[in-house]
Amino acid sequence: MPTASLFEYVAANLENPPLTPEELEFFAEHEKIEIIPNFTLNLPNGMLTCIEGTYGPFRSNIPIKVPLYLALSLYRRGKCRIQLPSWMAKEELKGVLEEERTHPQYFQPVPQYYVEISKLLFTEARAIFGSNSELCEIYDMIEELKKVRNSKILDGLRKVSGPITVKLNHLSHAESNKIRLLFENSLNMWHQLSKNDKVWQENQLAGNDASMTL
Amino acid sequence: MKDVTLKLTPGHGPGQASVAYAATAKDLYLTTTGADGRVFLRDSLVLEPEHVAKVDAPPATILAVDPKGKYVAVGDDQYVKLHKLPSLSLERVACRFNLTLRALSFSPDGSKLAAGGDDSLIKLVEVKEGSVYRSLSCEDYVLSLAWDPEGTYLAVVLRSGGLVLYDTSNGRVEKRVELLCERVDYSSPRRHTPSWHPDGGTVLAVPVGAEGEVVLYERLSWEATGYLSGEHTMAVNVVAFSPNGLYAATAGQDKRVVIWDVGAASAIAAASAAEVISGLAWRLDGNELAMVGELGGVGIWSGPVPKELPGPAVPAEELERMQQEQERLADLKRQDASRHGRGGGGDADLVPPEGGEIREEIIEEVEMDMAAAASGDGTDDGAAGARAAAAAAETTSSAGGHDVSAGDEGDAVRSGLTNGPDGPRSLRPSKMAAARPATQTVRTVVRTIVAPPAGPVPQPPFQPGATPAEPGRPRFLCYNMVGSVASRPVEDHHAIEVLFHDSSRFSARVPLLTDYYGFDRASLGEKGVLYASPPTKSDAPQEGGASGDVGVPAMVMFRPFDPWAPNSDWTAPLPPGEEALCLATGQSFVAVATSRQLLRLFSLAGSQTSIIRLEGPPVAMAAVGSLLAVVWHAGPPNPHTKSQQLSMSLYDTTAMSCIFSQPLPLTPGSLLAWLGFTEDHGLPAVSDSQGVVCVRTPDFGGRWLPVFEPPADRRNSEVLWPVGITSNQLYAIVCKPTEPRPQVSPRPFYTPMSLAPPMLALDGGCPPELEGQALLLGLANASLRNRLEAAEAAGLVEEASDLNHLLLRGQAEQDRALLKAFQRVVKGERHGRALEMAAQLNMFKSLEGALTLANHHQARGLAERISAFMASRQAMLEAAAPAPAPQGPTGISQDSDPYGNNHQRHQRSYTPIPFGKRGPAVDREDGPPGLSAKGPHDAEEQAGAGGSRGASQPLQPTDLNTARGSGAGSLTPFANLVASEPVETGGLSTGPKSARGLPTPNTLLQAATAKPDGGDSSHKRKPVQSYNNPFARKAPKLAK
Repeated sequence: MPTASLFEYVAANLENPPLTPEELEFFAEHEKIEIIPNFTLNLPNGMLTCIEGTYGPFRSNIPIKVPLYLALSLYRRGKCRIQLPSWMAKEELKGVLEEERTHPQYFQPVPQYYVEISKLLFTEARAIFGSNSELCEIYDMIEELKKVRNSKILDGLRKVSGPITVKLNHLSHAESNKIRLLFENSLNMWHQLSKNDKVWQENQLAGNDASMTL
Repeated sequence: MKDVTLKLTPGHGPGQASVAYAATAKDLYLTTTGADGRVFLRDSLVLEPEHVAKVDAPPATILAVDPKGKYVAVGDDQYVKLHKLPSLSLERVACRFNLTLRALSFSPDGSKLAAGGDDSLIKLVEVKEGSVYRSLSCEDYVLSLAWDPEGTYLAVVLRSGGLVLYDTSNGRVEKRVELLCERVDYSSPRRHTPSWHPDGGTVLAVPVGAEGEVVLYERLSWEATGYLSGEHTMAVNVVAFSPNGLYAATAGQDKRVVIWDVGAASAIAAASAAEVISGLAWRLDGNELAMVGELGGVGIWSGPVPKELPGPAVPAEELERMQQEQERLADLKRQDASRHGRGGGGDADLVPPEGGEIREEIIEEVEMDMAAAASGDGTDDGAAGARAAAAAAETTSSAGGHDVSAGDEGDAVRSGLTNGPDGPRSLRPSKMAAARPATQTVRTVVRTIVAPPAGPVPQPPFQPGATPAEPGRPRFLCYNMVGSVASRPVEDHHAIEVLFHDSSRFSARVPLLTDYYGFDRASLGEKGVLYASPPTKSDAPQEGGASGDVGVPAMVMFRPFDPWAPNSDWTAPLPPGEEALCLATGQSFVAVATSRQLLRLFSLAGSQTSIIRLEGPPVAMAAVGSLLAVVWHAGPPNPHTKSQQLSMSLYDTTAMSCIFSQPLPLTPGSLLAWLGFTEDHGLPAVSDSQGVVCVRTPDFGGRWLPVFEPPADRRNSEVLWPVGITSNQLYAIVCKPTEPRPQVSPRPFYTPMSLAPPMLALDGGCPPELEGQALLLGLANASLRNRLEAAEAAGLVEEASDLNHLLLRGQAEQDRALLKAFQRVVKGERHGRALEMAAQLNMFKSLEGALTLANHHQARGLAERISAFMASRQAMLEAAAPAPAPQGPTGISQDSDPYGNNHQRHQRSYTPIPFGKRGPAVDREDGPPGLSAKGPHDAEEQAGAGGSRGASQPLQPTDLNTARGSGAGSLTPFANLVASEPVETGGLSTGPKSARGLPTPNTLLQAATAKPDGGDSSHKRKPVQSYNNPFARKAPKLAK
């Protein structure tokens, strides 16, 4: 079966990729985040049972970890304070950004869903950052981080020139999703080409006509 | 004194080198020159060369900077050349020598320059024209020159070691000292540079001898007035006075640099370098010393004069001003003291020190015969008598004054001495009196100022959960389990914000309070907030004119949260001299403890229900429900242990009773840091400044049980700031040691931590936490029993039954913990201890579990004893059953039979029921009592908790009942206890009683061994119910 060309494949799948950003956001909402509820849940043990898990105990002013979706829905109702995740602290981000810039060959370890979590927090829970300037500062730093990592990814992609194994440690979900279609299929394409090449060479060695495979 | 190590940067070649600061109009530079023949103009901080010039005939050994900062004169092998500053461009040649130049010195006005060297000739040059106007001949090589700051004399040190002083105006030799210094070789790079004191050359310092001394010559008399000695071990090469003359720096052949305090002739700092220093220069306007070495190194010693001393460049006027200031201060002090002392004879002016007092004692009474005087004078005896009395009074007062100043100077307790009775001054009035006819008594009074007792001071009153005031920063007036009261400074007032942790609990938000009184204390309760402000003194007394201008008195203000009536806020000004020190807000009352040691009780709407005199100065108060705990100083702190002597009283404000009043012991030497109640049981709890939290157990007559100590491994990295406590957890805000108080923003949250009494880890494998847990549960049960007793005594049927139920559950919990410990101990082969643990079990079911466990671990002996114990317990109970219950609480045992196994089924963990609202909560919490169908499994479940589900051949208690006759009862310590009861033969049940007549857990154990299978017997044992117990009513049905 002749392989579809890369362009064809990407064009065909661009409309319905294997994972949409919305789906990623949904996954990201299951990441745990620390909140400080300002209510005491009047249920046995103060535990809240959701479809996918039981969280709690919810006691006023005692921090607990809950999934982001729960945190945000409580936050929208004014029932909790969300604690800024530690990796979103200014100093922490500054350090990561610095490291990210100085080491062009590695990615810094960041939370798997940092893009989605930060986006959700920025849009839904602006008040947890304290002042507006603080928010802007953190926002800028995360944007900067995204840019730096993106340029690294692009640089890396340029270097792909054969069916090789590429190790991409510490790539976040959003980032890998971004390059998934292109990267995966270009590698496949490389693989196909090399396979053809091999066959062709074997045929050459066998003295057959090359036109048979092509 | 420790030597500083100086590191010189290479600058010039080896040989003589020279350094000087050049203060040009623009900047301060450092000029250096050396054997490589180059002259550098360096940055005075980083020593970076900015300009460089080269002399024609190296080495350039010497340079001097014109005091005006226009020229630098550099001497090389042949010439003295003037270079312009700061460009170092050559200006002109000043003079020429045949041999190497060694010394240069500008006159203080910069118009003349003295130059000398190996030519045995000193040339004085007119700088402007560059002409030699006078030559001074000397017999030897010139090593150094120093022009006196007055411009009169020129000090010359010769190679032979002689010092010659020339009068520069006429060229005559003023003074010659032979062989003062060490004689040096022709080629030696030694300098022996002398230095004039900058203060008009009053002192000339010259290095002397090979032992590293410096002699100080007085001007004109040229006598040696002092020596700087004892630091250098070899000859001193250079001396340099600091710009203000307070200090001198010396550098010696021993490669050290020493800074001297000239006045005291003592060394104050020293440094060592890697080379012999050939030139020194003090920075003109700072605490820095520049130097060049004989190997060509250039360096700056930054801060040679220690910081606590006046700087080396502080101008003389400044110094003088500083000194005057000091003297003025000293004068003021003295005046202050004497003013205190004079006092005008009135006590009002004698101010005792903080915490001290004034004692007066009459040591002598002199009868003055006024009439005799009147006969002598005959004119105005009354006035004279008055005068005499006044004189006498003055005598005493001056004596007292003397005493005060002495006290100011000195000791902790100084008893002042008046002039004795035979002293001349006190005699005078009595002599006068002798001359007077009228009699008047003149007293000699000793006034003693008693200083405050040395040692710890009583701790000031505080509000639990308040953070200390810091100017300009928001603070918590109160932070507890209900919420927080934060005060934020806004311009001229404060904004007080009340926030609840549980925002759903109160219907309305509390509006922001704009506080103009300056409330510094607040107490947040379930019903409202109580604020108190200190009195403000009027700061403009002359403005009002009237003497009654006293400012705002101390205020107390209460704001209820959900008042049904309007105007429910109330404000009460306290009378002058009274100030609210401690506040507490309970469920039905508010309390204010004031500085007059009054406890003022108010109802929530402000009716004044009571005023009680406190036994001591209040320290802190806390309230819950209708209970009020007051901690007060029972006396001054112990000076030896530094422990506060505190007492606590607990009042019930509705019953108007004092529940207890007893000493409050803390960790020795610590202060009370927090006071509160356990949230679920309402037991008083305190935390001290070392972080140890204690809860008052009702057992042992009410004693304090340490339930929490900060973990040792984290004691250095975090500080726990307690907020609240339940029977098994401490809620505390985790703070950093650098900031041991929570900050208002970001809003803090508390972290629950498990309580852990400081139990010991005994050998035998039972971790102390398990025993600690059992102890804590026992504490909770003790309080429940206590409340149960109170409820029964008060006839509160509903509450009693609820409490009863809670108690049973608590006992089950305790048994579970004990069984865990029991299992570990059995595993660890400590059967004796295991048996004693089993004896502490509350429930019969638990004993069965213990038996199963013992069997599982093949501890036959232990199992036998346990079953024997159970049997005796049961037998005793049956014997006791027909007898009328001797006391009310025996009801517990009767109730326990339907619920004796009930506790096992409460699979969800125990939710603490807030003490304040117990009734309905309990109803919600307790499960249906009719779940006893699982009865037979319970023992297994119980055992399963200990991990011994599959006991192969458990011994049943019934099996061993037969063996009981073999004296098994006497084998257990508990059985011994029972056997030693005098009424044992009668089979009376009560066993050991607590002091209150209530059964202890042990007695309960004896009483509560009703077996659930003997349902009918338990039925029989039920006494006549004196109250309507819903559980009890259901019980018979369930049992069948």
